[in-house]
Amino acid sequence: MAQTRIGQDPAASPATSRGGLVKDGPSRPANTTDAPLAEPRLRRHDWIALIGSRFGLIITWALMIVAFGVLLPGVFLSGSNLGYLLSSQATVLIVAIAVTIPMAAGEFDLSSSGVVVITVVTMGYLNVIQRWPLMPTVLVALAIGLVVGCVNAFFVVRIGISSLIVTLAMTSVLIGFALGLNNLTVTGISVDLVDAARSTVGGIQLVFFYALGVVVVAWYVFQHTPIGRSLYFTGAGREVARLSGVRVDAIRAGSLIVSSLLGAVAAVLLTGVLGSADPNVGTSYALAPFAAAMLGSTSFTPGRFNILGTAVATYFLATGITGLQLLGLAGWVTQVFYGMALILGVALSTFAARRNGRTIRA
Amino acid sequence: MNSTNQEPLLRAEHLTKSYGARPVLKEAYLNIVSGEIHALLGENGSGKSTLIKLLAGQIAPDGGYAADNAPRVTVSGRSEGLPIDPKTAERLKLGFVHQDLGLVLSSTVMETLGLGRYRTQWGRINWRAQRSYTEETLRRYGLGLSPDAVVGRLSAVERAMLSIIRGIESISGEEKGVLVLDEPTAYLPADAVHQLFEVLRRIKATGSSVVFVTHRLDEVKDICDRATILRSGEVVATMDVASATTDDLITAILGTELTNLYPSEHTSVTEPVLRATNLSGAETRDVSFVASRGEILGLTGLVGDGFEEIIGLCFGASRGEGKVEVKGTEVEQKWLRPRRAMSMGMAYIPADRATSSGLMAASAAENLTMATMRRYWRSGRMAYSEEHKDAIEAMRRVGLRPLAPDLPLSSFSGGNQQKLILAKWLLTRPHVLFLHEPTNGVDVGAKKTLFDLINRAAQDGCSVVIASSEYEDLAHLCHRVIVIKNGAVSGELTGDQLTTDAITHRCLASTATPATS
Repeated sequence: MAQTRIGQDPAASPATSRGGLVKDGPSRPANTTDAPLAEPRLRRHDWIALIGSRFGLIITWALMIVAFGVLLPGVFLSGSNLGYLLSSQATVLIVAIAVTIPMAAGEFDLSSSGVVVITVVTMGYLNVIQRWPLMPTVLVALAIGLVVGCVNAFFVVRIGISSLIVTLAMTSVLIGFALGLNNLTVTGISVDLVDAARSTVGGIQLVFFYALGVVVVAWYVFQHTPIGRSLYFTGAGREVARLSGVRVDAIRAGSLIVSSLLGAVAAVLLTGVLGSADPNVGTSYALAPFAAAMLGSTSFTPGRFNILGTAVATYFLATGITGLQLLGLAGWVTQVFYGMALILGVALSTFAARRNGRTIRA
Repeated sequence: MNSTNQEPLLRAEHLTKSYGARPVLKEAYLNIVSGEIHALLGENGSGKSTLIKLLAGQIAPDGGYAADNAPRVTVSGRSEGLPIDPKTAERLKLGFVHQDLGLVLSSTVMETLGLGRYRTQWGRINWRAQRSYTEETLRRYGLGLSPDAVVGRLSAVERAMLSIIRGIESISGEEKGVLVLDEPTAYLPADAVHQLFEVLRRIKATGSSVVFVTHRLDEVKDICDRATILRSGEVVATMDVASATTDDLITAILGTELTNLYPSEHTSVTEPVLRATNLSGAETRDVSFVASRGEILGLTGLVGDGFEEIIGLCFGASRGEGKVEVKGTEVEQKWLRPRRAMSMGMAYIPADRATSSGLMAASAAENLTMATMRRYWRSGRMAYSEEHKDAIEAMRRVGLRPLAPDLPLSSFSGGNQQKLILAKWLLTRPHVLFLHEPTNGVDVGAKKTLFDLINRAAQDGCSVVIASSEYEDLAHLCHRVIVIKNGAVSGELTGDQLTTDAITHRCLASTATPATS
């Protein structure tokens, strides 16, 4: 994985200071003079830049909702559409949170779509074709996630191969196995699971609330525990973290394992939502979570991967796509939109990192 | 300016640069006469690097000035407005060796020296001519390298020499040129510095000149003819080095007199705290020593002789053999990890701030509590306000400016970063504090603070072990210095023997005598 160290020396980047623009916000480099420095005071345009960089995503999202609401009166802002929007993206949200965890620790987990596919197919195979009861099926599904995570972690941490390579290859392996197991859509998944995922509360499917639970727990761990801090330290400077007593190898391995496990959780819920096991579900999970994580790292705490950012970005992207589809654009728009969002997300987070003298891996 | 009645070889003027609203350089200038070695001095943050970057065209000066006082550089009577591009710099015979050396680690020595000046024949590179040029150049500078050696595999010293040679070659030719060296000696051992100075004197003899940025005043006295001193972005003096004392230079750099750079109070020592037994690593074998409570112990030698490795081995940062004992707890080195070392009461500050000891992107507070963050983990969440309070307290204690725990570490000057990292480890209340080149790229003022802090830590009962090739600092700061040669202990200096000259002599002498092998 290429690691680009950007803006370590803010003085070296002329672009940030041209014409006294607002571009160097609250974290203006303070190392360029040794004149007595007071606590840095923010000027008014600094505040605007600060709010813009932290909450730009939410503001854009709000504007987008208003725009679609005006363009599609009575449709876009209807309760049923909002309920659909929240519910349909819940599993994507879980996977997006899943991939954010290793990304914070400086590792990529591209195998999430592979995990989703193999878990979904296995669910269909065991629960429908082999007529297994629900509980053992779910346990096997989660075990698959656990095993994949452990294998990823072994090759990345123990053997020392780039996580990009290992998890990319793993995706191919998993999808291959899935197709070998069963390459047709299986219907007739246990009603209990379907109910657990699809029952609605206030027009919103339960699966959304599970996803919300995942978000809250992940947010808490990131924000309020030493583990969250260690994740960030490991991602921002592995050697510094190691020499400061952070168990970087455990953190990296753990993040990959949790990521795969959460991927399997999302897949179990997805099977319930769809009521069937479709081996072609993977495409929705290949790119969208990464686009969301990257875009999310540009807001709230710009330059750092963060759970709130990922969550908001997931729905930001979904809002855009749903709106465009309601406007009459065909299904292809999804692919184009997510691809562009990923590139834009990386570009913006690179920009945020440069402004804050931070390190980003991409 | 007493010795400049002739037209200078290089004249740079109206150098003004601000970042945001803050001026970094204010109407600075530089006049270099033909055939001189000219020091550019100043504390960290005084604008030296900015001045060099302006000259090199890496950054653009502030605009908006009338034509007659626009920033410009004149070499041998040819004048160009700043910023200049690399081609223009080459035409003006301006060569640069930047602090980061600017080498491509995956390329070969031949490619490195050829970059931008390939010998071509009908559009294709004439590799044979290129090879003989490379071999001849390496021989001329006494560098025993193969043209095919990969830069990434070279030692730090060889890399520095290679980069400097490339810089010199870029200004060689009929016309006189100016070579700008930004802290070239920071990572060079004493013998390589001598080698470099020989080369610089040769350049000077041809009528070309050298601009030399450094923190080491003994080097300035040694080789420089004149010095320009920057303070807070302004040129405060240009002086003849021969007629100035080191104290004069320090006074000019700081703007105040610095008394007692090296505090002399030494507490007496008896109780052993650290005991290293038969430590062996990649560059060392069977090194044993003891450090006592309140003692400041120096480990030194020539770069490459292995003295730098030892403290890393003690802390478990790298893998080796032997035993490490702290306050009665003994551990086999091969099982020692940083985490274990920390629980035994050790603290370790590596030399390379940017990659090993500080997280530039993280805030000052996060850096400060990195090694102690579990303290703030109570009843299920991080106690942020307490962490913030402790961070401010710790920053105040080491005299950090600005007192802003939320700013990223990269916003602080080099000296302040080092103070902050020291504060981070002092928060762990270590029994043993390992420091590797603690004053690397740190200005004189911050250096004094660092020394005070190190002394205070020792007086509080900490055992401090410093691995450094700054003999002068070691001589003043340490109670005892162990000299490492060829990976083994070759001698120990204490009391009256502990002088800069004695250490230098001990380190150099051991290489002058051919090894028995």
